[in-house]
Amino acid sequence: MEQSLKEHIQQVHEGSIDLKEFSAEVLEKSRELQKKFNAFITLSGSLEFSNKGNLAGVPIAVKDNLCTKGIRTTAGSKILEGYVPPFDASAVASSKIVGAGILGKTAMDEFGFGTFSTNCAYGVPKNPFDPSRSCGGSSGGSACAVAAADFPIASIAESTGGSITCPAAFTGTVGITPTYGLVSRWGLIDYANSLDKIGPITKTVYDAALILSVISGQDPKDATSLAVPKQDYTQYVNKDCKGMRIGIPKEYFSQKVDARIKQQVNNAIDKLSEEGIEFSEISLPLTELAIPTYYIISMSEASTNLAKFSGLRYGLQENFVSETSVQEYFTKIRTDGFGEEAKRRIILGTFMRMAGYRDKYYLKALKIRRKIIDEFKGAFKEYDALIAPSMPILPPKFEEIEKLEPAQVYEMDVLTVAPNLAGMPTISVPHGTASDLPVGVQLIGDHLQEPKLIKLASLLEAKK
Amino acid sequence: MLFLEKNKIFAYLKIDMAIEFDESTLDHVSKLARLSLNEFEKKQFVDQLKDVLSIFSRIDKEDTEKVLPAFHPIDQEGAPREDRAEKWQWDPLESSKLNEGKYIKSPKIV
Repeated sequence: MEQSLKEHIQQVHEGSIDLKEFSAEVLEKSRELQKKFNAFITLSGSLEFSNKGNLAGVPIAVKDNLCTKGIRTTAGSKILEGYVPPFDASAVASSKIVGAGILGKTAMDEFGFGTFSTNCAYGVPKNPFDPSRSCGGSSGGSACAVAAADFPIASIAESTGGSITCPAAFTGTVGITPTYGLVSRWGLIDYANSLDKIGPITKTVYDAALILSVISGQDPKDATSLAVPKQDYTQYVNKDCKGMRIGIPKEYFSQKVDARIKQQVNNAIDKLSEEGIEFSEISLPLTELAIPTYYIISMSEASTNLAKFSGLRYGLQENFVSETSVQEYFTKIRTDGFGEEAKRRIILGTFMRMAGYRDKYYLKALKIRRKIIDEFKGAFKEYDALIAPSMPILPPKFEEIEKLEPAQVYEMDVLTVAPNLAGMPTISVPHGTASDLPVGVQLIGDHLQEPKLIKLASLLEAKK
Repeated sequence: MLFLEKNKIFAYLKIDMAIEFDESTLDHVSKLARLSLNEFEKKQFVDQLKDVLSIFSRIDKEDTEKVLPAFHPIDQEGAPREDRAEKWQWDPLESSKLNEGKYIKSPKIV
């Protein structure tokens, strides 16, 4: 039953697939996969498609921080236990209008706070390559569902600092983190408003381009969505790349990166060179400041965003007696409802925005962000794209993750945070394995250069 | 004699200072954030957050004189909607178990 979305949709349009039978088969298989890998927080009881539209008959697994009308949405947190949104996020609505069905809501680190999806209040997704290992995060469940399924499937995921690239790399799937603002954030439960980007995780580059075509476009409900015309990104798949120039940022190939991963990325470079693509080394010295810059900005924004979760309007709520003060009630709900990492980030974000610290941390980080953006812009005057490993490590075992201190976990994002800070699009493509585990190669582009990335990624996919 | 803890003095005076993050700072920030930590969590968090803040301090040495802060990654005009009242398509209070008609019942504020 494993086939590309293109063939599947064609068959649905032709009427050669009985959607009711397909739906029953997908749900049955998903229930079995759920027992093995725990990709979902909520698996749909029914799956409804249309036989018309660009995503006719396509099951979509949606990361659980995107609102889905009538389907529980928790953002991986106990504080949103039982929350059922009365509306669809724009990206979800766009998909349903063109025939997709919502298969379920996928497991994730609480509010996106994590790199391994181990901070999920509803169970941790396991890597289909090796269930003792992480799927990555925070969109771990999305990547898990796509990697594990032997039926046509796609996922709508989300990235703030690398939460699409990381799980795509760890599970051998394709992930596109689009230009900031290309996809509407309406209906996304915010982590950090200036950093959040919704994007696809899929089995192939074509599938990712197809989903991106559907979910992108200006949305009047999101004032930060870009005023760019919608386009069909699938037209860039398998297009000629001869003469394109790709930079190799040396900071992304440091000693922090596993040698086996670097070997696979170098192999990818060799294969693309054979196709007439030119490579040269480049330096991006501000890369070393990307981790602190990202975490300062994201935690500051997150601590503000999470102030809305206080037990009044949605999610975890409790009865209270008349003597209970607002302070006591809010504190109890938030203490009970947030996990450890969420509390850490809220405290840090609140601290860094306080008088006396705001200039030192928050405003300073915003200025460095400007410099990082300018550094990328300078690179893209010379190059069509940059190439790098997606992650510095192979998917780790859960017992290894438990031993990590928070500061060590944050350092794992070293290869993804800079392009995410700058709002640059990236695509992660699986390329080879190391010790039987998937390796991801990422291509980074300038704002709105998804077409170039899709061209290059589809070529790399063809050469693997 | 009026006594204020050192970090609160600096907060009032808005003086940039070296990182000092201790249990009293944690208590103060937790209260602002409406979070309550037990004794074990406090000890753990103080150590962890000090480590994290030492990483964050790497940004101190970077010259950002005359650099404008980037509140967004892409400078854009934005896409404001027309200023036109529209009826909500759903009840904004329906997700609350504490709603009573058009109101949400709240714990006492004063």
